[in-house]
Amino acid sequence: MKTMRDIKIYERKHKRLISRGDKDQAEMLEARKPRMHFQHIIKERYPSFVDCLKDLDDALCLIFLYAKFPTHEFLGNERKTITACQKLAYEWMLYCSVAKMFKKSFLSIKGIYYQAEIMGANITWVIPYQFTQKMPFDIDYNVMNTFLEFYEQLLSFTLYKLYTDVGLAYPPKRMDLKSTDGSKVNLKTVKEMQAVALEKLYGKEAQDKKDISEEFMNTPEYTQMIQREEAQEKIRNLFKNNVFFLNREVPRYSLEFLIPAFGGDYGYEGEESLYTIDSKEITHHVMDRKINESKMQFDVKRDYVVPQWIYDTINNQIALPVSQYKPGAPPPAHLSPFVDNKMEGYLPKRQEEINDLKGITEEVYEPEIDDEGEGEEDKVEEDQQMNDEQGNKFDDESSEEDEDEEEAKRELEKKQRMKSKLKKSLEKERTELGKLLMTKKQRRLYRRINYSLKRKKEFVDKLKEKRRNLEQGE
Amino acid sequence: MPKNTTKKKTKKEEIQQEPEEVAPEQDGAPVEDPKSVEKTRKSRKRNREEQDKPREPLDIGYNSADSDDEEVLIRTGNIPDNWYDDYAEGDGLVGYDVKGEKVQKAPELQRDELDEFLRRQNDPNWWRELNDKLNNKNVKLSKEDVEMIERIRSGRFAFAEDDNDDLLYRPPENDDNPEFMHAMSDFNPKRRYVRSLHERKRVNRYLQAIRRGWLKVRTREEILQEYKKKNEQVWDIWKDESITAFRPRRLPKQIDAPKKDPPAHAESYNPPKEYLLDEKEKEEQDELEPEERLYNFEPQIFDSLRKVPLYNNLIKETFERCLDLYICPRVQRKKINIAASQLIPDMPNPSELKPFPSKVSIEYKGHDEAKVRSLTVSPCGKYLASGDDQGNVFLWDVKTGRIRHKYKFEGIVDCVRFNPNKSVLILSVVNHNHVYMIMPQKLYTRDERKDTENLIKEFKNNFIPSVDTSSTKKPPCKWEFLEQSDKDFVERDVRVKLEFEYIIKKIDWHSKGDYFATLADNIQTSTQVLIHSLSKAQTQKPFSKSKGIIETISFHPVRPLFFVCNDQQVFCYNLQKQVLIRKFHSGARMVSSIALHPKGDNFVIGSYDKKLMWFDLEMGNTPYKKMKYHSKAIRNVSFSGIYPLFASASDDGSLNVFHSQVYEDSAMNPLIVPVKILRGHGVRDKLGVLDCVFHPDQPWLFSAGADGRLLLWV
Repeated sequence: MKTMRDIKIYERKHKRLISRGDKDQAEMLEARKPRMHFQHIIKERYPSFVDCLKDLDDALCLIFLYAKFPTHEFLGNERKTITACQKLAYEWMLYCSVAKMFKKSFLSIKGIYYQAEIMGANITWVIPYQFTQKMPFDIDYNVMNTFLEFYEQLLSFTLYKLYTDVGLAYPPKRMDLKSTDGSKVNLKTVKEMQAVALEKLYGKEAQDKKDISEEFMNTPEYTQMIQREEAQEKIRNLFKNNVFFLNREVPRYSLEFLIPAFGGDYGYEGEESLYTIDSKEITHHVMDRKINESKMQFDVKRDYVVPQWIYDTINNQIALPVSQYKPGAPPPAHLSPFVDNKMEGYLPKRQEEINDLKGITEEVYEPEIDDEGEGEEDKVEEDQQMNDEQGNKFDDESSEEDEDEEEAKRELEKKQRMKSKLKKSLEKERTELGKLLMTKKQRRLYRRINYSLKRKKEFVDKLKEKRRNLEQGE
Repeated sequence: MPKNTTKKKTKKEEIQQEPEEVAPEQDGAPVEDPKSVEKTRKSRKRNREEQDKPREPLDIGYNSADSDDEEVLIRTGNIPDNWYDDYAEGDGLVGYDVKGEKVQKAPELQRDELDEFLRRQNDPNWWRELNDKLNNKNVKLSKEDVEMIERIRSGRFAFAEDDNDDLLYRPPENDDNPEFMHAMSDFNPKRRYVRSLHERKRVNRYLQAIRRGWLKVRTREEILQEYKKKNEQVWDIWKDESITAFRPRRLPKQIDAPKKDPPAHAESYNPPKEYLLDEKEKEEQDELEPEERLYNFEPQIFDSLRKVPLYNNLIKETFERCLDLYICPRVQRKKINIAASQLIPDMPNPSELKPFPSKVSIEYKGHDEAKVRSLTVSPCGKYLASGDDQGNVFLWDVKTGRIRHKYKFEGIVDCVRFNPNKSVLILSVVNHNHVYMIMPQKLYTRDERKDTENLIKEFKNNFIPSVDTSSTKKPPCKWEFLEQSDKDFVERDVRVKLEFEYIIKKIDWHSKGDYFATLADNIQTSTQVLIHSLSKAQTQKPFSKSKGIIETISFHPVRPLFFVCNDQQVFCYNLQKQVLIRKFHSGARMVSSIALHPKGDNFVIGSYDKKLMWFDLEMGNTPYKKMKYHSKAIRNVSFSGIYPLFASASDDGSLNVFHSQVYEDSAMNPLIVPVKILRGHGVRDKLGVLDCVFHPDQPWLFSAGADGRLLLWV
C-alpha cells in the first residue's frame, strides 16, 4: 500500500520534472523509482523452491515473449522492461545450457518449445522465432505488465538460487552483449561454467552428500535409480565427440544453448568461433539450404543435416540416421515429444520408424469395445428419441423397422448363443441391467466418459483413414 | 436636563476633538466638507500670520499642529444641529462657548430664505460668503482661499510655492544612477561580500575527509548505478525453509493453476501429413466457435525451418492465458481415471436369481392391428382374457394360444379383470360407461359352475330390480340382472350389467372376489371411485369429497386397505374404519399405475415421467427406491403372485423384469435387482407396452402392446 502511494508520488514528481525539462533530475528520480517488492508473496506462494520451479512455465513464456517485443510508446513497452526481460531470458537459457537441464525441444509453428527438468520439476516454455512481434492493439497490456512485474522478480530470485546452487556467480556475464559476431555465448566460457556446475551437481561431493543408507543400497529401487542416472548421464553426453558447424539461416540462437547442453561442440562463421568452416574436427554441418545453392565445398567426411535432425535426436535420445535429413530435401515429419501417443491412441508413422530404430514396441491404448458399443447404443437411443419427436409420420415405419431389426437381432443372438457365445452377450446384458441401478450422477458420468472416448476415437479414426488414403495415393 | 447633557457633551467633545485637530494638514487629500475646508483654511491663515514667509522645511512636522490653538466658539460638541433648533427659535441660542455662556445666533446668520435670496440678487460675490456655524459668523473667502480650494480639489499642493519643494521626498526616478542609494536595500552589509568563515571551515573539513579517504565522492553515474543495483538486488529467499510465510487460516487452500496443454503433433512446423486439414474440415472448423475448434492455429507443413513465418497470435494467446490465470476461478476436481465399466454397480448375477421370464414363448394372435389395452389371467391360470380398443374381448387358452371365446363390444374396452376368487370364474369387462360380468359358459369345470351359479343366485336374491324412483338422488350406478332372453346374455354371456353416469376407466377386485371398485375416467367428483359388492348387489360411495383426479386405485391383498393415487400422491384408506391412514408422496408428476406386493408390505408405483418408485409401508411416506431407466412413460407395473418378481411396462416398447426379494425381517431392506429387459413389442402412436400381468402360479409374464401383440414371456 505504501509503495503504491510512493509510486503515485513518484509519478507526480517525475511528470513535473519532465515538464520543466529538467532531464537530469528526472533521471535521478527514475533511478530512485519505488518498486513493488514481491519477495514475501513469492515466499508465501511457493514455500519451497521446488513449488516455485513447478509453476515457472507461465513466467518463462511471458518473459521470453516480452524479450522479443519492440519498444512501443503508445502501448507502454519501455526499453527498460524489455532489456530486463532479455537479460532474464538469457540467464535462464544459459543456466539450462550450463547445467545441462534441457530435456526436450520442439520446433512448432508458434516458436521453439523447450522442456527442462530441474530438481524433478518439468518446466516447459516457448520462445517465439527471431522476428519482431507484431503488437495487436486489442489487448490490455496492463494485465500482462502486471504479471510481468511479478514474474521478473520471481525469475530473478529463482535464477539467483539456481546459479548459486551450482556454484556460479549471479548475475553471470553477458556474453551476448560483448560478442562482436552476434553469438549469444562463448563456447569456451560455457564449457568452463559447465565444468563447475556439473562438478557441483553430479561430482563426488554431490554423491557423498546423498548419504544412502546400506539398507537402501540393496533394494531394487536403488538399482533402478542408478540405472536411471546412468541413462541421464548418457543423454547429457548425447553429442559428445560431435562438432557441429552452424551455417547461416540456422537457428543459432537456439542451437548455441542446446548443443553444449548435450555435450557437443559447434562452430560458425564468426570471429569468436572455435572452429572454422574448414576445420577437420567438424562432424556435422547444419544447414537449411541445398548444398549446391551455397557455394561451398562438399566435404565427404562430414554429414550434412538440416537443423531438425538435432531436435529430433535430442527428443528421441538417440542419434538418428542422417540420410533422411539431407539439406534441400523435405525432412521426415517432426513430431511433438510432449504427446503421449499411448493415451492419444494413435501412433504416427514416423514414431513407428523411430521406435523400430530404438527397438521399442509401443502399444497404443485402445478403449474397450464394450464401452464403444454402449456409446453407440446411447446414440441410437437418442436418435430414436429424436425421430419420435419429429412427428408421428415416421413412427409406424420406424417402429416396424425396429421390430424387424430387433427380431433379426434376436435370432442372431440365439445363433450366437448356440455357438457358445453366450457368455459375452450375458455380460453385455448384465452391464445393461447394471446401468438401470446407477444413480443419476453415475449415469451422467458414465455418459460423459463414453462421449469423450468416442470423440477421441473418432479423431483417431479420421487420422488413420487419412493416412491410409495418403499411403494409397503415394 | 438638556442643559446638563449638553454641558457634559461639550466637555467630552473637547477631549475628543483635540486629536482630530492634530491631523496633519499636508495630506493633500481633496476635502469636500466645507467645514473642514474652512478649518484648514483658517489654520493655514494663522500659520501664515505666525510664521515668516520663507518657511524652514524641518519645521514641517513640529509646527503643523497649528490647530491646537484654534478657537472654536461654540462648544456644543459633535451633535446634530437640529437639537438646538427649538432653542434657536426663541432666544436664538445656538450653543455654549468655552466658558459655558450662551451664544446667541449672530444676526448675519439669522437671515431667512427671503433675505438670502435678496442678498444673492444684490451681491455679485454672494458665493464667497459662507456661514461658519461653529464660530457663529459668516466668512468671506478671499481670492487666495478660492485658489487654494481649487488646488486641493485638483489634487495639488495647497500652496503654489510647495510645488517645487525639493526638500520633499520623491521616489527615485532613475535606478541606474549609481549615486543614488536606497536607504535599506541598497546597503550591502559586509557579510555579503566577505567569505564566510564558517563555510570555509566546513569546506576544509570535507576537503580533509576526501583527502584522507573518509569521504567518497560519487559521480552521477555511480549514484545511478547504485540505485539500479539496489533495485535489482536478489538473494536466496528460500534459504530459511523454517520461516513459512504467514497464511491466514480461513483462506481456502491454494490451488495451482493448471498447466497449458503441451503442443500436439499438429503444431509442428513439419507435422505428419495426416494432421493437415483438408478443405472440408477447414470449413467445418471455421464454422465452429473459436473455443470448440480442434486447434487454435492452422496446421501447416514447411519444408525447411527458415521458411517458418511469424506466428501472429502468440501475444494474444499469452494474454488470454494471463486472463485465465487471474480471472478464472480455480476449482479442484477429482479427476476420474476409471474405466466406464467400473461405474456400473455390483449386483448379483441374474442367472442366480432364476426363474424369471426371459424370452417369448407364445404369441396370441387375433387382435391384429388393434391396440390391446388390458389383459388378465384367470385365477386358475388356464385362461387369459384381453380387451382391445376396437371392442374385442378374447378369451385365450394360455397353453395352446387358442381363442376360446370372442365377444364384441362397442367402442374401447378399457379394462378386463377376472374375479380373483379361485372357485368362481367371472370376467368383468369395462366398456364405455358399462361394466359387464361375463360368465363364459364353455370354460367351466363342474365346481366352478356350481360356485359361480351360487354367487349369481345370491346376487339375484339381493337384487332389487326396480330402484326406488321416488328418491330424488340419482344413484351413481344402476344394476341390472339379465335374463336368459336378453340379447347380451345370448351373445356375450353377460349375467350382470352395471350402468354408470360416467365413462369407467378401471376396475379392481378385492382378493376375496366379492367387492370390486370402479374408477371413472378423468372427472373430479366424489363418485369417481365407487365400491361395489357383487353378492349384495350394492354400491357404496367411499368418499364424500373429491380427491382430485384419481389416476388409479387398488385393494390391499391382505388387509382391509384401499389405495387411491392421484397425480402425485398415494392415499391409503382403511375401509372398515372409513379413515385415511397414510399419505405417500411419490415424487413423480403423473402417476400411472400402482401394484401391491402380494404380502402387502410394499408397493410399486409407475409414472408417466419414466420413474418407478418402490414404497415400503413401514418405511415412511417417501419412496425407498426411485429408479429411472425407461426412456418413455411407464404404463403399468405388476407383481408376481408367488415369485419375487415384478415387471414394468413402458411406452418405449420394453418390459423390465426385476427380482425383488422382500424379507420377513422388517429390518432387512428389500433386494431389488434388475434381471431382464424384454424387448419385443413395437411402438405405435407413441404407445408401447400397455399392460403386463404375471401368471398366478408360474414365472410367466403376459404383455399386451399397442402394436396388437399379445406375448407370453417364459
